[in-house]
Amino acid sequence: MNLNSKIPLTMLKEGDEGIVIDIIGGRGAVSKLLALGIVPGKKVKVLGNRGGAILISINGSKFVIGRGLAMKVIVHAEQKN
Amino acid sequence: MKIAMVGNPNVGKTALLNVLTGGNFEVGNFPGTTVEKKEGKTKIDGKDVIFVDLPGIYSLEAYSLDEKVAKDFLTNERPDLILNVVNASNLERNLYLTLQLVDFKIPMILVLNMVDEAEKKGIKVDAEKLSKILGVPVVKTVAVKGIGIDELKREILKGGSVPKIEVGGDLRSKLETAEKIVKEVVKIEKKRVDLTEVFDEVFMDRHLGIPIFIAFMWMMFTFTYTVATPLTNLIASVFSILSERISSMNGILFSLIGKGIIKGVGSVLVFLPNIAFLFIALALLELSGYMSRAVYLMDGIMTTFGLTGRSVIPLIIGFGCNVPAVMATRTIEDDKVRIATILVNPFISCSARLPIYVLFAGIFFPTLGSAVIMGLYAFGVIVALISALIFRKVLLRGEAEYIIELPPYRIPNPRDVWILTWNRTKHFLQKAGTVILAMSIVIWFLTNFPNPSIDKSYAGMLGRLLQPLFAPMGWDWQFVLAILMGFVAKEVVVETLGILNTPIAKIMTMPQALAFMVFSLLYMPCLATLATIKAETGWKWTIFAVIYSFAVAYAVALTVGVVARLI
Repeated sequence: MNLNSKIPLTMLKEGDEGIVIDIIGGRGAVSKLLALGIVPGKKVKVLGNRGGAILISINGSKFVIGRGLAMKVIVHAEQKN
Repeated sequence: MKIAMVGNPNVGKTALLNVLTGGNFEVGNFPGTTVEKKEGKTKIDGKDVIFVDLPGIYSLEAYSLDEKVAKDFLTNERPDLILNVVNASNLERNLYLTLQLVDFKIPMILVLNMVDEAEKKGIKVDAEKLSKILGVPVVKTVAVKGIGIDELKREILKGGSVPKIEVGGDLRSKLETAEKIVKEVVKIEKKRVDLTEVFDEVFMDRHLGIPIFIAFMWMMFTFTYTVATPLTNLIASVFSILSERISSMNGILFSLIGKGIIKGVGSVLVFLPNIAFLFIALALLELSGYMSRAVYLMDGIMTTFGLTGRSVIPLIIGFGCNVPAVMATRTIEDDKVRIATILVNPFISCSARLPIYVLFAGIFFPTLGSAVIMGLYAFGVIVALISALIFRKVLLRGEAEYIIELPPYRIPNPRDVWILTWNRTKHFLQKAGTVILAMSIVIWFLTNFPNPSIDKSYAGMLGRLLQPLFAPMGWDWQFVLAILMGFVAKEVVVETLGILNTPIAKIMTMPQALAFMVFSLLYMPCLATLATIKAETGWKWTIFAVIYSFAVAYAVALTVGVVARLI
């Protein structure tokens, strides 16, 4: 499982949770995501991942993130029992 | 005294501006309602105060247009006071911006808005402690209900104070500081059941979400067309009586006013009830918070065609009228997706094209009428989506990145619905009053000179002149003239055929009729739509839209005619 520990947000399934580790990409994308509260160390929950944009909940806010942008958010998937 | 209002999107800045100034500014529950800055003037205790409502922004890094507008204003105009409007439910994220505002060293008041919503969620903010940490006055408000406004006015008169908190210059240290502050001032009590969560369980359900969305759209259309019909009929009969009365009087001036201006403008104003009702329905969808959910639900389908979930609403509005639909693309932040959405919009069959289908389907497909009409609508959607895919693969390449915050569900306030509806309807009326008025006069001239009988007029000559162009489809000159006239507004196609007393059933075959309907669906954005495309994108794309749609229409109509003959 350790191989999968750092994955893009898009790889989380509906209902999965993870911790944001890093945001890769240009300064524009990074600062936009940070300003929205998508910050390393925060817990993120995927509420919907059905092929298109991803629906997440983070910090008590919900966001729709286009798939391209979601690829740039690197998370650590939390183990689920 | 000049006061800048700064805050994240959807924190209620505009609502606050309205209660402070008694103004009528658009309020939304869809991020990005305010794209440009708005000004409101008022007097507080006899003192002149100008409020400048800046676009909702998440940061001041100036990467997007909104952020640039806000940053430039703060840097260049140096307001006397900043009202930093903050959503109490989401303090930490809102504080990132607050801590960036600190760098400007401008006196500030922190407005902790929507405290009622926060308390419903069990979130309590210690305003006094927050005020001490930041070194600025903190006022709790519920702008939409007018709560806390008197206290806010008192604080405004005192002038706020320059923030005293020390924070590093880079975003990361601001993020850390915000987290620390929130730990000290926010208490989360036991969470009550949040209605937004319950609604989202249903509306965003994997299986139910899209059927519910379709049901909402169906309701919107019934409301827009069926409910508005009596009003439409009323306007139509008033204008036709007026037009007849005036044009029956002798003299060229009466002819111009009656047959030209009143008839022309009337033929467009007939759509006013439909458009106003459509905007009411859209305002309800936006203000309730459902709109951003629809963006998510449809994103998967849209990305297949190179668009994003953001394109869905403009495309749906297109079924009503392409003019407001093109204007609705303003919420799409990616320029390429936005232009693609605008360019394909005219292929979505607007309500003005329906009379054409009804006329021809009624004559040539007496039993299959509604199936043919449904087919035309579906065909328009298919052409739009395929065109979008082509544009995004060839002309407008590049990945679209977007992120939007889902607002909580709210019950729309009738006043806000009215303001939003009126402001948008006004745009439509302005167009009817300018472009369409001018074109009505031109058309009146073309159809009444040198001979007032239309088939001997300049328009009639033009129809005959251009007929060879459409010879491959086998259409008579009357149909060519109708198409030509339909450029002003598509419903004029039917009207022209009526004026000409065209014996349609006698001079047209079924395959020709089918080709004609398809051509009418696709051939060119109407004048009002073109004017809007020009305003939103400039000449280059407007000319492209004309050429592309004409080429597609011609090719498809020819194919349809040939294929239908073979079958």
